[in-house]
Amino acid sequence: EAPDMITEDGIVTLCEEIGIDTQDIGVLILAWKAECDAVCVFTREQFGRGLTALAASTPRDLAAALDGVKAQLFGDDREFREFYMFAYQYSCEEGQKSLPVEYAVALWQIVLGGRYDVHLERWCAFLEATQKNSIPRDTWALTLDFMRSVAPDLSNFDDNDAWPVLIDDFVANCQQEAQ
Amino acid sequence: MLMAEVGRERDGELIDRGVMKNVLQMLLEIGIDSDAVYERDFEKMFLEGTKEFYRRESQEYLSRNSAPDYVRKAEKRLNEEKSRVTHYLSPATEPKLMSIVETELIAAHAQSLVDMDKSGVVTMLENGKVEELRNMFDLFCLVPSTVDILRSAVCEHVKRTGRQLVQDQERVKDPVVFVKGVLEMRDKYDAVVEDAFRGEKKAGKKVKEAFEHFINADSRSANYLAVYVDELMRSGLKGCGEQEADERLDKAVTIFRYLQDKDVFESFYKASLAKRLLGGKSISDECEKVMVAKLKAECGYQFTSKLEGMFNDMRISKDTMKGYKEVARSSGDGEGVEIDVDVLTTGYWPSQGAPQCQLPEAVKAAIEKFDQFYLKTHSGRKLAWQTSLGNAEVKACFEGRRHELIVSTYQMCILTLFHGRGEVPLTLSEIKESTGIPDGELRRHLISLCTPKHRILKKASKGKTISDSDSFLVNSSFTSKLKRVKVPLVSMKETAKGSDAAAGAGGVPKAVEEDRRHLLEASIVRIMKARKTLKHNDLIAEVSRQLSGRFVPDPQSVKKRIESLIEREYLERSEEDRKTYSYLA
Repeated sequence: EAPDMITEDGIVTLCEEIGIDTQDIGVLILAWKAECDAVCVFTREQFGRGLTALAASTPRDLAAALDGVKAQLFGDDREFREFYMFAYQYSCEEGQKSLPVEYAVALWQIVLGGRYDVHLERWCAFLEATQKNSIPRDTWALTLDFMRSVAPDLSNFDDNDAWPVLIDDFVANCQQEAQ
Repeated sequence: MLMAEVGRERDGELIDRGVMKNVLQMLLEIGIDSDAVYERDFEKMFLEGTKEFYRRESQEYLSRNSAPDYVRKAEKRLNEEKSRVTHYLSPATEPKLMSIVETELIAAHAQSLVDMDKSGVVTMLENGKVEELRNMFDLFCLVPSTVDILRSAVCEHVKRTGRQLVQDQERVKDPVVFVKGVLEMRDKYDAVVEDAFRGEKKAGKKVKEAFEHFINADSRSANYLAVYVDELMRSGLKGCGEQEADERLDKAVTIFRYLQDKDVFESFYKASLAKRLLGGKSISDECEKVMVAKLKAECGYQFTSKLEGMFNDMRISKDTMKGYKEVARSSGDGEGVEIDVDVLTTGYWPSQGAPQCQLPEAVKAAIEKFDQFYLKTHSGRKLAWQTSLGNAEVKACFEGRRHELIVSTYQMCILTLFHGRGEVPLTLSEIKESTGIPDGELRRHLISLCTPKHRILKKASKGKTISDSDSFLVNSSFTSKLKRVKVPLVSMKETAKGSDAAAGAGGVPKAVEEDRRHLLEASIVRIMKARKTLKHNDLIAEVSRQLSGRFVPDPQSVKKRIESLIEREYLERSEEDRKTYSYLA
């Protein structure tokens, strides 16, 4: 709680206080509710907004509220998508339109981990091994659809559908490895 | 029994048809108002017996006879049965009877007949047995579904033969041979469709599909065709009358029609046309124009506008030169190097890209004079001298022997460096620095001046290549029977770069790939602007339809363009349906 901003160190402290890991999805949820626009920075105004939105005034309240929102998100597809898209936007640098692949991978692991695990590990491994470019917004968006709708054995995937080419490549890669 | 009589007649014996007719007539009459008695007491058994008879006979005959023989026999039997109806059966029996016979004789064995070893369709096609094929076609027409089998067999054979032709190409590597082979096949199968299939449209279509299939299976086909036409224009059409030339070009166009990658052909064609126009290598300007007109008729104005632009440039350049020479003459400015200039509009011609090299002073002066003249009447324009092209006449004296050497621009620059140097050699690096010619081309043009047949320069190193530290001297003992010596250029095998033409063995040249990207995006935007929202598959289909006259886009490429356009916010995906796109104004 320095003058007008909470920066990285502050966030570490905050996390300690509410008992979550700095990589926990809770941090992002807070940023979402606070309508933040830059990673690792909470302005006083934003932080306040976040606490209000979560109806929390103590660390314990905050922890509980975040858990509550987490549960809520996982039950509501629409809300989750909103949050998911926010996470992308939030993580992009000022003025940048796409997210470098390393950041995208880390972010996917935070927001999708524990819930959409079927393809997640292979997807991240594939990206780390083969992708140098950044991830466009559209691809980020469709990845969620992919995680939600495509079977574990990829049997219902059709590359003539409107999937982004990167996802087509991923599936082709998986099928090739299976042989 | 009536059946026994029929059986005997089928075996070739003569029976008393009159009696048969009377008996059956009686059966019909007994039934008074219906054929019920006839049908119950005769027809039913007759039809079953007929079926059994032909089932056995056809199988036996098939196993012992050739396909054409079988066809003849089947025809005979069919006629016999028809005659049987006329002579003593009830007319109502005919359709039922014919249906059974056709099924047993034709439908049941169509595939075996077509596939028969040593006498089936493949044999007929290979040996030009058009009449046999026609007989089979006529027979099969009675059971329309079997004609499909026939057509497919022909189609498969065309594909196989075509693929063979392509593979032979791998070894022969002569594009002209390949195209001639395809043309021969075309003539042959045109005749097959006309004669054997009596001009049937479906057959024609199937054959067309087969041609499209194997021609487009090889990505070099577009290039081969361009080389073929190049050869026609340079020498093949020599001495041809107008009509014959027209026919031969028409044939080339029929192959063009099969090509999927028409834009690749255009790119190769443009490159070879440029060489012909600039080198004055076409036998006939008329033939060139006829070909372009044919391409225009096929593909529209867009396709040929640049080609026509090239012709225009040549024509206008001639006028410009006339004007220039008159001005030079009247201003008494007859001195200096004489030049002949072709002014080319940048967008029409294949791009060269090489920067201007260092020209000899006298030449520089001459081109500057032309610059001034030209820019006076075309003041907005800029002239870029393409020193990688063009040729020059260099007057040389070898121990008193005078010759005129016809050499490339680069070679002219190289040779003029040796003027007045006597016995002092020039090194490779000195030449490179003084002329500014790019390394690969420099070596190529230099080595062409040192070949055994045209040893104008002596090279210090032994062997066929130029070493980095090589040096050169004029070969004063150079001789030639001709006064005007044309120095040929060594081919570009080692120097890997080839301007905008081939991109490795087959495949699409880079310039064409780029072009396609632009065309795809323009098409996508145009369609989306008109339709506002569209499903993914419909968009792909529309784009393919719009561009099919030039090339066949593969769905993945279209997808990449769509993604790029989404990123650049021309389109977006619909919120409700991820497979639908909307236009963003």
